[in-house]
Amino acid sequence: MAEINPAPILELQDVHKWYQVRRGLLADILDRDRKYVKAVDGVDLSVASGEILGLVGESGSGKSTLGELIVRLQTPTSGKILFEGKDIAHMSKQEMPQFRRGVQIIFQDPYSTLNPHFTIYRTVAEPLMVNGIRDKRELRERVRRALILSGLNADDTLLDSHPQKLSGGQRQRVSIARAIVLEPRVLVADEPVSMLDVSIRSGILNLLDELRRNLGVTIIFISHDLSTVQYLCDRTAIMYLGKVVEIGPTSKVMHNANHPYTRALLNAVPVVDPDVVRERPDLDGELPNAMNIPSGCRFAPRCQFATPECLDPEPALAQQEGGHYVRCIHPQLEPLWETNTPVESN
Amino acid sequence: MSLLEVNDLKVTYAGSPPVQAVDGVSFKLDIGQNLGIVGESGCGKTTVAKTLMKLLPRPARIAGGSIRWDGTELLDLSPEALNAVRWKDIALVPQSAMNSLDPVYRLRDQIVEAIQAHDPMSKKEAETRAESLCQLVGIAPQRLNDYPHQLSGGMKQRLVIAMALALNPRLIIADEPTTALDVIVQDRILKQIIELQKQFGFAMVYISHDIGVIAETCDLVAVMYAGKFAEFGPIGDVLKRPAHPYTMGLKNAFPDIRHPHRLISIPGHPPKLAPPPTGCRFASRCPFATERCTSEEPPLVQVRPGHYAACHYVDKAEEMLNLAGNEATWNPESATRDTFASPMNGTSPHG
Repeated sequence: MAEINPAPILELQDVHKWYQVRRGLLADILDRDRKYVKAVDGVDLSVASGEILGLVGESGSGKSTLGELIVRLQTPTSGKILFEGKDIAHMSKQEMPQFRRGVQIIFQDPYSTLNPHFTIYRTVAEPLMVNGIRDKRELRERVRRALILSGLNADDTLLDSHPQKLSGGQRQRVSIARAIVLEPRVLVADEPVSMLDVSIRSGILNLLDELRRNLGVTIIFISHDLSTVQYLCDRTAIMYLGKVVEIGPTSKVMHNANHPYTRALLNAVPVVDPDVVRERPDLDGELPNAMNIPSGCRFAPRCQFATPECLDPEPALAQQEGGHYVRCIHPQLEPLWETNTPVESN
Repeated sequence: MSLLEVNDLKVTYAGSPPVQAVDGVSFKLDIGQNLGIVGESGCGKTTVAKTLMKLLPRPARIAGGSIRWDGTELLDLSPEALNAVRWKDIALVPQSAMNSLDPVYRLRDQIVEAIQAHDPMSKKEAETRAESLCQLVGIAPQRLNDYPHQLSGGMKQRLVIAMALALNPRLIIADEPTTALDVIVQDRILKQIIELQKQFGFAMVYISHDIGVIAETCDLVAVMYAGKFAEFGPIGDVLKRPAHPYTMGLKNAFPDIRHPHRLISIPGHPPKLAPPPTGCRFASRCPFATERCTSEEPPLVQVRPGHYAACHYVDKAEEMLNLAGNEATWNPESATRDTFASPMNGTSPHG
């Protein structure tokens, strides 16, 4: 684990994002029993400056919504998000630009997030121009620097070309350059490698790690892919139906997963070694709809360890040891697998 | 005689010059065998899958080779004769199968119609068949009254797999059947595919970019790069003792959650295939490439029984494998490239 400054740069306090389900005007007026999709349903997080936090979950777990809330692309239904100690929902006119510069986002699809009519120079210079930088030489210099930091060869040919000319990996590097050109303190990366081929994925992951090292930027890495999270992140938070069910140092969460859901997720990852036979997860049913979240522990209906106590009240996120928290009253304590000693096939 | 024998298959996409998407692919498959084809986007794996059923759209042309199915040349068959083979003998689970269901028909109607189109039987019989297929993949038969949007992605995918099994085919071609799905759903589907195969004994061509998925489902694997098989053989041999530098690079780049290691990416990009470069197609990205590699195309040669690799230096595979684990080896500016390449044939390395 890298050196991390313990002062939190980002704090989430009981953050909720509910979407009302529209069922026609009349039904909405007459029926008091409104339905909501509870995408994010009470998340508390504290992110230290300079750390890489992985947010993991299946589709529908609320991880992307949480990312969008952090950069204020969406506003929470309730709860607070503090950036450098200030509530991002109530910032003054002077504070807002600082927040916008300080928190940037990279999206999944490098094919649809770059404007095809913009040159690479214009793409990366845009955030600077929006922030009032007009000097041509300064613009070009800062664009170049961001591109070089993103591992690109920042020559004039690249600056003047359009995204169509670039491969997926290069495009994602351009998106990263655009995100870091304002020297943000926090970078939200939403599935930044899942559209890329395996052979170039690792280059982007290593780049994010370098950016953290060289610029001290804090990274929220959102992914459904546990192996990439394990590779990159200092801490990992596992989300299930809008709530964090387990969080802690990545090595603890991956090898000593305590929550039955985390264990199922990890056991579901295919093994690269054809001699190893893995234990397959044993889960009942499918992911419930975020409109009808089960009461008590929301994972209980699918959990093989569930008892009547799980159904009420909802378990709290309880500390196990050393910053490892689990929302489960029947935590599974034995390690999932031994590292570096492959299980022999039978 | 094998169930399926593909020989020197060539597929081009129209253009000037044409794109040689698949160039000289050969393999044999027997009943009950699983061949995984693994490779990155654009390597031609989906083109191979579709060609096996002659389902390629217009700009694509089969430029040569043969596909023998149970002794019959598929490429010579009339469209009618081919229709008799499709689905009945060879069934396809397409990429994003979830989108291959018609949104405006109830599932029951579309499955029954498809069964009847290939196998004349009464509607009642076809419905009974559809219901038992549902049970096979763990979906309650009453869900057949639903429309596709009422099912989750994983359920739709399972249903499409069930449809592929409808007529007891002897070969199933599965093109990235779990790619868009979450791991837990993917796990369930992989388990189901393996169980169904045990039960029915069909052969399978399984296409994926995920080495882990292939390692768990297949006994044979072909590593495809730029339209060609770079390496082919039993899964254990290819993954544990790879002989082609591309396979080595792919393994380095692939994360293993149980045994974490430093990820090393392969520098550069796959070559353009219109026309393809001379020599080895991987040469421009290969840390071990020599001048011979850029001028002379390496054939697939046997490394050990049943295990083939298309590299001029398969006899140095072990040495290459040792170096391939070192990140500096893959760095285009690194010195290890020179030191390794020169003793091989005394010529200067290719950058």
